[in-house]
Formats: sequence, structure tokens, C-alpha cells
Amino acid sequence: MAEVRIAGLRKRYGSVEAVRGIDLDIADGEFIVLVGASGCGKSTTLRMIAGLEEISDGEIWIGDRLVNELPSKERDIAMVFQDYALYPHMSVYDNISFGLRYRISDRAEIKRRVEQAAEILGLTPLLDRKPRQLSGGQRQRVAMGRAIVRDPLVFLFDEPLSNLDAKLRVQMRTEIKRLHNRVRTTFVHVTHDQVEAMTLADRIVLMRNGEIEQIGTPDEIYSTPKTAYVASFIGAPPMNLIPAIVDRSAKPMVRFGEVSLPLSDALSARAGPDGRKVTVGLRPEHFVTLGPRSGASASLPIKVDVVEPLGSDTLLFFSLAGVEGIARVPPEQAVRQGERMMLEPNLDRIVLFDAETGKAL
Amino acid sequence: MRSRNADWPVHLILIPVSILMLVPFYWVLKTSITGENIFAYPPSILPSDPHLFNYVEAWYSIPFATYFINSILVVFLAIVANILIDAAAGYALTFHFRGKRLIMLIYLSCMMIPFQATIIPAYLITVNLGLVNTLLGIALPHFSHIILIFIFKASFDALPRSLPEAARMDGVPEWRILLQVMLPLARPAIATSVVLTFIWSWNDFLWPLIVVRDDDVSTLPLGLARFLSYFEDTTAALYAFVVMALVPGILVFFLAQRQFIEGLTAGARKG
Repeated sequence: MAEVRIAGLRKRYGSVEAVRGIDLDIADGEFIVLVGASGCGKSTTLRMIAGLEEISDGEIWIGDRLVNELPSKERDIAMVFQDYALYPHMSVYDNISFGLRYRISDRAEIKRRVEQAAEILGLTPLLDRKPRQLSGGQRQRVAMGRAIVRDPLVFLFDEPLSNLDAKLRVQMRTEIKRLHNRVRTTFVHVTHDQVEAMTLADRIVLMRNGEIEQIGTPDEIYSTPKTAYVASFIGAPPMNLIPAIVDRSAKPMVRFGEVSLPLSDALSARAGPDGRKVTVGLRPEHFVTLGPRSGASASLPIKVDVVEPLGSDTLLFFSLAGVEGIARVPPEQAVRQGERMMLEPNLDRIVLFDAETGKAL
Repeated sequence: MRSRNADWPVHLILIPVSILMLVPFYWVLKTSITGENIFAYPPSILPSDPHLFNYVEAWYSIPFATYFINSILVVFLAIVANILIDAAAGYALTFHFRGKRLIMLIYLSCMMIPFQATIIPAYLITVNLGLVNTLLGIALPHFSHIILIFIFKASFDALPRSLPEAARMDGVPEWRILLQVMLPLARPAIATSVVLTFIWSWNDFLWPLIVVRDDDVSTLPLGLARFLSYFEDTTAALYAFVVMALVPGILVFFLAQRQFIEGLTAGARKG
């Protein structure tokens, strides 16, 4: 086990800068998930940690060693690739043991380690099979087996679940989490799937355009996003982001067209001067539906455009101040398409962003 | 996918063309077992009174078995060397390094130089190595073919990059990655290398003619030339000789046919 320290890490491909000076400290045994849209630099960062990409600038430390110039094999790390990278012509046993043969000369020890890994991952009956005879989930487990037999300082996962169907993905997610609980080694996992990030990570590193947008626990990232981008990226469905103006003509409010919502004292203190353009962020689950003629002061009149029943809850799609909004309501609440109603937001959960910079206020 | 029935017009053209291409082979085979005059008119289509006398004559009038074994040994050396050297060079070209484009350009340029233009330096090198009049000396210029380097490179490029990367992270040395990960997955390229090296070194006449002094290191093409010089009216025995010399090549091609065609088209299409 080892901590990983990244300082001022950059990667340039000619004139294009894929990673723009990131700093990150990963604690010993921590499960870190790098998440972001395609092309944000997360996989490049992982490949630089793995030693598969040269570093243009900055430093990577694994434990107390600066590994910038060390080849992959000397970094004592193991990686699970997106396409599993199983050798098609070798059996499961050979796939798992192939790398070990160059590190351990004792055949009995290799056999013991492979059998132990197979036991952990439920691969014992499959050891003689070839990868083409395995299902996607089993292949994934072989790839994980190949990593754990090495007993490395750090595990790297490069979008390992992206080739699996939705059901298997959920199952394998749990397996990865279980594996981490068992081996308690430092895990660095790359994904573009925010649900994967939320469910797996001790801390999430959300990247955008080669930079870190926010680092935090899943709860911090979800509840107190530092930017509107983070708010829109994390959460399914994402946070509602509604353009508004700060109105201090009477008591502090935010106004969207004809409608306005009062601001709490804490938010009011940060909201800035009268007339400031802001973006109001509200999670879909932070609404309560009221009748069509509610007298509540802090409510939004909406017309439901689309109703999406999910079973566990129901999503209501509506338009507000020219943007589409989503509310998540309990499934027993019967709402019809085209229905007019009032939505009462939880004012304590409102997040305000500067309309120009997108940063949280 | 097109149905089988939709292919019949194409087959209607391909079948007669294929038959036409096979006519010379059939003629050689027929003459070798009958000894008929090849200029006879009208020509007979079916062989009459076939016999193997011409084969016996070709086998015993010259040391055919020696030539045959020598050819096999030379081809074997060339094939093994080509797989190892060309695959290693092709693997190296899958990496990104400074000067790679220049090296590929030099390779391409070298392909345009005919072998005849390099015979004198090749001969001098062979003399200096003490390999004149040896089977190794005959095989040496066939140890690497640039086109096969490119075929191996295309084959390796088509494999997922994660395979060598995974092995590298596990600490597997590069030569092991080549031999144990990449080569087993590049079977079409290997088959192509085997077939083409076989054809080129099996048929080579000029180079063995220059480096071979003695009959006991001669290969089949040299033997064929000597055979022609010994006998005057030898058409049927000559054809028997040709048929015997062709058999190994045909066998190699049929064994590697499917992989060979895949190898030649590797990299031509995605996925």
C-alpha cells in the first residue's frame, strides 16, 4: 500500500495540452475516482500514473519514490484496462499467472497466488478456459485477478465497467467495492459514469478540460458543488440550473421572470448586490408538489410537460424561466401530463452560482 | 449479406477464368505422365497411357533428393529468420520514436532497389563471412524482406494496444511480449511470411548460382538448370521435375491459405 502524490502534472501533445497542471494527494488505501466527460484528461492522468504516457511536466510520487522516470514495471502498480487486455490465446490460469512468472520464480507460490485470487473472484472453475469462452463479467474478473495476484502498491482501473451491460455493471461495481474493502490498497479508478463515481469513491476528482474542477467526498460533490458544471455533471437527473437575478427591492430574493424565491440569510449574505445575474441550483428531489392554487409564499407555478414514472419515484419535466426543469416526486403522487401545479422548493438546499464564472457563491 | 444465388453471374465469369489459369499446370502434369509431344495437333485433352517413368528418370538422372533437401533446408532457415527478424522489426515500428518516419522511408526506398544491383556487395559480405558454398550463404539474403516487416507491423498495429501495455506493466521483457503475446496473435502475418519466403527462396536461381560451387549444396533451381544441360530431349522428364519441385509449395500454400489471405489484407480495414 502507498499514498500517491501528484504535483503540477501536465501532458502536452504538440500544441494541445491534455492535462493542465493538476495537484492531487491520494491517501494510503483510499479509493479515488477520476470522473469527467470524454477528453477531460482523466485517462491520460491515469496512464501517466501507470507509466504508459510520458509526463510533460510535474511530479508523480508513489509512496516515497518519485516515479517520473521509472518504467511501468518498476512502479509496483497493477492496472485493469477498459478492454480487459486478456491474452486471447492463453487460459484464465495463464492470463493471471503470466506477469507473475517474471517476478516470482517459485512455481508453487505462483500457483498458490493464482488459486487464492481465483477463489476471491469466483474463477476457480474457469481456470482452464480461454477468454473467448467467458462472459463479459467473467472476463472482467480475470482482469481483476491478474491485478490482485501482483499484490501491488496501487490498483489502477481505466473505465473497467464501460463495456458491460447495465445489470452487469451494477454487479461488477459491487465486486470492485468488495475487493477494495478486502485488500484495502490504494485504488485509482477512471470513469465517465457519475453513478459509478458516487457509489465507489471515498473521494471524487471531477475533471474538466485537463483541470480539476472539484475534489471531495461524494456527498460534498453532490450537495455543495463548487461550480455549475459540477452541479450539472453529478446527479441523475442533474441539478436544475435556472438563470435568475438577485432582487433586494424588498427582502432578499432571486427572481426568474414573474416568479421569485426568498433567500436564506446565509445565501443572501453571499448573493451580492441587487440586479446581479446568478444561476439558481436545485436538485430534483428538493421539491414538494402542492395543489394548483397553493398559498405558500415560496412556490413555483409550473405546467407538467412530461411525466416519467421510474417505479421508485416519478420525474416531472417542466419549463421555468425558459429552461427545462425536473422534479422528483414520490410514485404514489398521481400527476398527469399537462397538469398545472405549484412546486415548493426546499429553500435551505438552494445553491447559487455566479452566472458569468459558474462558481458557487 | 448477399445470398448465394446472387453470386452466380460472378461465378459464371470466375469459373472459366480459373480453368483457363489451370490449363498450363494441367498441361505440365499431363505431359509429365505421358511424354506426349506438347506441339501435337490436335492436342489431346485427356492423358492416354499414363506412367511414372519420367519421374523415375528425373529422380535418378540427377541427385534430385540432395537438391530437394538442400532447398528445404534453405527455405527453413529463411522462414525462421524472417519470422524472427521481420516480426521484431515490425514490432519496433509500432512504437513511437524519433526518426521512425525516416526509417520507414528508408525501408520503402530500399524496396525499390533490385536485388541484382546489390549482388556484388552481397557476394563480398558472404565471402567475408566465409559462407560461400554453404546453405547458410544461400539463405542469408532471404533472412529479411522489407514487405514482410510492414505486414508484421500492420498485424501488430491491429491488435489492442492494451495487450503489450498490460504485459509491460507486469514486468514482462519486450522480447517475451513479442514472442508470447504479439506473435501468437499475428498468425495471418506469420502465414504470409511463410508462404512468401517459401516462394522467394524456393524459386531463387541467381543468388545460388553465384555462391554455390558444388553439387552437394545445390538447390532445386540450380538442379533444374543442370538437368536441362545434361539432356536434350527431356520435355517430359523436365515436366516431371517441375511437378516434383512444385508440390511442397502447393502444400505450404494450401496449409496456410486462409491465414495468408487474412495477412495480406491486415490493416486494410477496421475491426
